Amino acid sequence: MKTLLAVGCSYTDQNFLSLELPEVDCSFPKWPEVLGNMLEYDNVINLGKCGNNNDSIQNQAQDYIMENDVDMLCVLWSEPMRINIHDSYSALWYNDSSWNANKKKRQATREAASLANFPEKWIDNWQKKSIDPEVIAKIMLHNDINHLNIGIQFVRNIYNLDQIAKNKNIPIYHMQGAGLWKKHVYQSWLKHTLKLELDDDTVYNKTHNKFRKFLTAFIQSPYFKILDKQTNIYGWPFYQELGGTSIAAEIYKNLKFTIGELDGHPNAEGHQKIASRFMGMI
Amino acid sequence: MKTLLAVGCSFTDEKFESMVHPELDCSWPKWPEVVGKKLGYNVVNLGKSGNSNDAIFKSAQDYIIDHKVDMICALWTQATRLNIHDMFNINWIHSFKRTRSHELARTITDRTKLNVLNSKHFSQLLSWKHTALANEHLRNIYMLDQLGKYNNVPTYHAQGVRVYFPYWQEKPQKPGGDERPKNDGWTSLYKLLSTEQLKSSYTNQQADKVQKDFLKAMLDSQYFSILDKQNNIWDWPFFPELKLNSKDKSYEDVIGDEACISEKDSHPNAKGQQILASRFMGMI
Repeated sequence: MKTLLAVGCSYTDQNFLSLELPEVDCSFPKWPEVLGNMLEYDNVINLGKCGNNNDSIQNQAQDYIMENDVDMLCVLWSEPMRINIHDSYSALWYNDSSWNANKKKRQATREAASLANFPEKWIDNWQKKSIDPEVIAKIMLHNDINHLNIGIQFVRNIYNLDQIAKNKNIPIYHMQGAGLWKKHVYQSWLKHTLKLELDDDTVYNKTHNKFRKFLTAFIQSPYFKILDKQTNIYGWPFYQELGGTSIAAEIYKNLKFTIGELDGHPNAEGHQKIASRFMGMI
Repeated sequence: MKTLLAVGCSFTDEKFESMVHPELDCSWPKWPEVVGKKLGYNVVNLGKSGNSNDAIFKSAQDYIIDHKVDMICALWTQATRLNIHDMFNINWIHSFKRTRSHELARTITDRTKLNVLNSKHFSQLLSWKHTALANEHLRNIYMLDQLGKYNNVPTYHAQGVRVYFPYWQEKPQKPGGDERPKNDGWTSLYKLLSTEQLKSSYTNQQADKVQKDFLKAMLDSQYFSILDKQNNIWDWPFFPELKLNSKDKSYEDVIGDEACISEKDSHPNAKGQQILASRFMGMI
């Protein structure tokens, strides 16, 4: 029996439900299942989980292959701006919607709802109450240095899981699923935290310079040059500014591949596309 | 010349300063320097006050990827520290010591970090998943161990600060010794929680159960059985409760009060650093 292990976030979650469009039936086969069929593997283990951060993705895969035989590992990485809370929770401290209380509440509810035995009365916005995203954003973004670690951390995750699999002789393939760290993160931050009226040129210059430094740190990471030589990473180096791509970029605002206008997660065709991208590498 | 890479938290930090006794000169040699001298090795000390175990592992990994190292010594820290994007670490146990911590926090950034977590809600959050800390801790040790092995670098481990005890529990008494001074942080936290929802779910009597759950999770971890066979981890498996021989000395027994800075600051003094170094040398 051959086993495919798949890890990732909501782009991979077998039980994914659309919060934005709850009426949509999301029981279509997800990419691990599609890929498993393409490979004619008789066993697919899908550890994908909504809200997962990249640390958790790495850790879940590692914990699994420590105790189980796996013949192939496929990873669909998530947003780098999620924090791993002791392997138990994932704090999405920053994205476009994190400044919007209603959306933030929905996001928190979705993640908490997936936790077994979590008391229902505590689900409501637990994450917002436990961790203050704005304080983290202030620390991470207030100067030109702090946010650079996010890029280095991200490539280290990919490298680590790559090494873990290779040391166990498991073929491994990587792809970037959900959105990357982008310039608009700084734009939202400026808009929502500085509370200053800035003209467009000032906003552009401030965000452009920060993002350029981020990409430079990403490229200069010691792990980058190692991964840069590999052929098992689709779309490397992910950032379009660097000539790369990601699934999020490929299906963005394309209703053929996404759940709908309000929900950019991949639909059935989107999952077929992801599976075929993996097959292209394999 | 050969190089010793040392990683850890404030117990290892070359530039450690006592926040409790800021007037105290803490420039005594730290254990990496002592070990390095005994071995005749050049020493790279990446120990940093406040470090989490995650950051300890990653700081070693980031260094090794770019530099040649001949030996790694890691002094691990509490499992209750959270790594925020490799930028800063939050010891959420200490974040409960809200008032005192804010007094001690010297910079605006330090004070800001303390506000990242809402201790009340965060404790609720972790109370449902506290056993995950055990597996996470052992995975960090395993990962660094593997990193050393794959790079053919001998690696030695020891536990500095106690890994974990239930955070609504009073600090445990030293086995067979005098009662340790009450810790303001834990006392105030207990008071805080006793007025909250957790009161109905968790009482101090249940702290033993929580501790046992944690230890069981540690034993159940797939990494435990691997590390358990090794002889490069001093004081393994760290908790006196898990040691087959009840006469085995715990870290706290070995270090003792005389090797701490003071009753209020349990960081190792010059003597404590020498003891830590001798423990590493005993393994090497």
